[in-house]
Amino acid sequence: MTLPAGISRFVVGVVGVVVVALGAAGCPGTRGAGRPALRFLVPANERPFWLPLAATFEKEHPGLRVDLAEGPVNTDLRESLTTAALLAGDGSFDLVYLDVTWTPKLAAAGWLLPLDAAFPEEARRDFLPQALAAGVFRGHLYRIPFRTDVGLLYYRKDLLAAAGLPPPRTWSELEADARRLQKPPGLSGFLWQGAQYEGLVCFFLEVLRGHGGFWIDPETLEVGLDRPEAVASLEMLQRFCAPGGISPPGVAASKEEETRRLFQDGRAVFLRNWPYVWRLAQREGSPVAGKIGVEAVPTVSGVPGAGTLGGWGLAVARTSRHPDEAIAFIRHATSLASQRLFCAPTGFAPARRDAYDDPALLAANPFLPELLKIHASAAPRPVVARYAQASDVLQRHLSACLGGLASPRDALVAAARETRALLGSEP
Amino acid sequence: MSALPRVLPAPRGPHARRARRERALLLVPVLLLLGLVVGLPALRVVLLGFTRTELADGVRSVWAGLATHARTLHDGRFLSALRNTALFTGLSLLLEGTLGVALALLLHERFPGRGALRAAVLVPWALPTSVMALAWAWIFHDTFGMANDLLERLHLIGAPVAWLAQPGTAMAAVVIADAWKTTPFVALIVLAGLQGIPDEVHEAARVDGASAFQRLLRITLPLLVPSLVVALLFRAVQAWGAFDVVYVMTGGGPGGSTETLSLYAYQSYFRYLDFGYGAAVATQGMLLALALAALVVRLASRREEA
Amino acid sequence: MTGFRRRPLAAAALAVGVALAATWSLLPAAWQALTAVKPDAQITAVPAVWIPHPPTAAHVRALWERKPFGRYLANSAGISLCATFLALAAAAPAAAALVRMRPRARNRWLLGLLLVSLFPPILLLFPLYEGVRALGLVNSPLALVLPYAAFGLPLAVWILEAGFREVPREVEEAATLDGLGPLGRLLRVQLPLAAPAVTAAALLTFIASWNEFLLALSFTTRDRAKTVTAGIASVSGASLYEVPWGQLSAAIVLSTLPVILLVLLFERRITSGLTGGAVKG
Repeated sequence: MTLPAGISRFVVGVVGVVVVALGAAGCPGTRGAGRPALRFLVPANERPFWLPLAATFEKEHPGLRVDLAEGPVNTDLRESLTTAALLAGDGSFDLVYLDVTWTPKLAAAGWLLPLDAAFPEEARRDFLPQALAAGVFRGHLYRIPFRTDVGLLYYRKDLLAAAGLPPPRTWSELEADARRLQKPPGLSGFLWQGAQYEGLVCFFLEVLRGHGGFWIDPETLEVGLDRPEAVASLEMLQRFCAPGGISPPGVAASKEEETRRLFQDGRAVFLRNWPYVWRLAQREGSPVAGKIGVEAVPTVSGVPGAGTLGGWGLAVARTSRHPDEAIAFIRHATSLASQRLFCAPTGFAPARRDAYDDPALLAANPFLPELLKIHASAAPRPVVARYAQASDVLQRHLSACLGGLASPRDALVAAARETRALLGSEP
Repeated sequence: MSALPRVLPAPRGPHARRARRERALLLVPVLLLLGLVVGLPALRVVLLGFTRTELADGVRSVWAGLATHARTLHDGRFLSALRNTALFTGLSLLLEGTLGVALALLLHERFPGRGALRAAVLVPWALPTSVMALAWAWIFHDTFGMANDLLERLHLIGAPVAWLAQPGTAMAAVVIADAWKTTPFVALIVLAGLQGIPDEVHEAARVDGASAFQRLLRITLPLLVPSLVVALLFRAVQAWGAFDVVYVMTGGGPGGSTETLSLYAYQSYFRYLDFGYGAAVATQGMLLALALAALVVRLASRREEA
Repeated sequence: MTGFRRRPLAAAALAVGVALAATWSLLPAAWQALTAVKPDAQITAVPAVWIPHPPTAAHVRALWERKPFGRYLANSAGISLCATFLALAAAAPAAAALVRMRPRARNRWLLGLLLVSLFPPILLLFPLYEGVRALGLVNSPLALVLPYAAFGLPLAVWILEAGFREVPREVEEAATLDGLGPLGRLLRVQLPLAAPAVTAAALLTFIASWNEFLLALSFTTRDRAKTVTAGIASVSGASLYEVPWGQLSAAIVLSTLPVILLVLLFERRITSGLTGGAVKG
């Protein structure tokens, strides 16, 4: 017996054992391979609400199947998974369920199918214009809105009424009211999202617009971060979370859920957050049920502010082997019947205009008319291919200022410089 | 170091050649597996670092020579990520090393319930980072968190600390979470080293009249250094590539003060679709770590020879 | 340092040390365990509620009903076991080869193996993903077994090599004289005699594989193919938005129990397994 043979036999044996063991562990086969399947990734927490939509679609299209892959709840993780699948270009997903900010990037990368022909002018009129516009990149429509979102100001109706105050329309009113009503640490004045992440950008944009400033002009690629309006905006936020301000220091590390919990526990007078808070704060057993009101975000001048537009939509992957069927599914998912099926139990804001007059939806969510009014002035985030980088530049510098690393002016001057350098390479 | 060479192969002749071939064959499985899973993918990423990624009507990688690598020179974020990575690695190793040695010394003592404590100490290491990091973020939450609750009950702080909202405390929180998870690993290897020290050495010192403290300082600790070095070497490599803890706890904030090179490379690659630059950042991070390692090894071996 | 008798001061210091060590190691984990049986309202109460009253099994039950958690555990166990076996099968021959090398060459190999792991693993994700897709291994356990085995290799080689070095040279020579080749020596002499080191290497690889997250998340798309850590990422609460802390904690506890049992079972073996070897690095 020669040595090499012995060793190779050993290696072959080991590999054999592993392969057999794995075979025994079971490699799940592909089920129902006969019917073409439309695959896409949905967050695990939304999946139960997508299932009825898939079922009604399959009933209408007997030859088709909808395969809802269950993705992680965390949005960033789903973004990475989606990116990896699209980058590999292997057709593992037919549809993409995407956030409002992903459109420019994925479209620029050439991974999405233009939907201009599939959704002509008259079909587009069904949707809220702001939500639809967020799906357009360089003149082509790539994403059809499925549900929408807009930044709102929540306030404690009971506390304001007891002090004889109307809901604040300007930032200085909000600051004065909060200062008057807050009793820290048990009751904070104003909660918002200040951690280094996308939510901080969403909120800062609202403040910035309310001060008459802008971040990036998507047409001219002009950057407005080092203008006085921007500096004043950040100075105000810094003042809010400074000692003795109207926001607790922890706000600079807060995301939506932490602030929502505190507000819902009755521990804050004002809260900037998304529409989902309404349903949770108003439900039975909530300490603030029936005691909250909602308004557009304040401005300096007192005209109702423009909340930042959010929301999720559907697009077709260019590598899909069933693009026509995928488009049919988008039409189905954005029909009034489907919107009712999805938004009534979840409380999400529908993307269709007529859903806001729908008796069933109104019964499930009486807050829809107010939302529609505020949504009309929702403002998008700039549509540039390198949005993710631009946002990270802004996040870092805003967070650096709130964390005490830089003055508002220095932070914004640096952010403006980096953003200009970044956009200089914008194709 | 070893006085007796363990193997004395005949320097020449068929026998030696056969032994060498034998040894080479025994190394094949390791090389195959590492080459397949780490080598090839890493090579692909390293090569990508020499391209520029264009994002216009599709993503394209264009050969760019060293241009992409040169971008790091003017990138403040790269430098800050490098500094954070070094700081994180250094602080983590310092904390884990100290705690690991202390734990090992403790676990080496004999006392009732030692077995239970040894098992208890290993628990953190058995918990998945991906989820525990989430738990640590809540532990350090300024209002709901256990850290502030505990410190306030002990009257160590007057007002709640917003741990993750300030650069210094955020880095501290991340380091503590990391050290908590990995101290058991260090303690385990150091404990093994402790058990390798023959009892006679201590006995001899005791006979010579050395106090317990002197014995610890002059005998135990120096004899522990080799095993501590091994533990910290493995930890250094892991800490340099730290990702999950930071990603989950702070996302790199506040103000980028906890962003590591891995995190920056990941963001460039997966979020900005700037594959070339992400690859370049990762490659440079690795090269810098290699250079650092080479320096340490050179210094260590020189000291050993001296 | 034999026997339990000490001077009072030393005994007190020891007791304090033990208490501190136990607190530091167990407190955050215990917090998780308590959260797993806390009613929802007490989980985020301010000031914090430490002891649940009354404890509830609702989270564990919800987790088990909503997710194929048993299946996740079985997948994790199968994949981690295979990865551990493969890692040892590859590391043992290598360690046997290294132990017979001259110190200089050996140290170079050991260091080289370690430095291979310097490349940030997170960036290997995409090239590996491409390979996995190209080979059609998505949702196949093999897609995770191979990387886990490879990631565990350097440490396994280090520990086994150190363990083999403790095998008395005379025993090995006797085995050679008996006509055993390198493989026979490995299987009949080195591995059995270095059993503690083998246990240690196996346990370290197993735990690392059990806890890996990002590859598991990326290479499995079907629920039934997921491992525990990937499954936990899709744990969602009864309502759409809330972070289901109770269920998450229950998931952590359930996914960690098997590993803790293993640690308890092999604790004595691990510590002696690492003995000596590492000291002579």
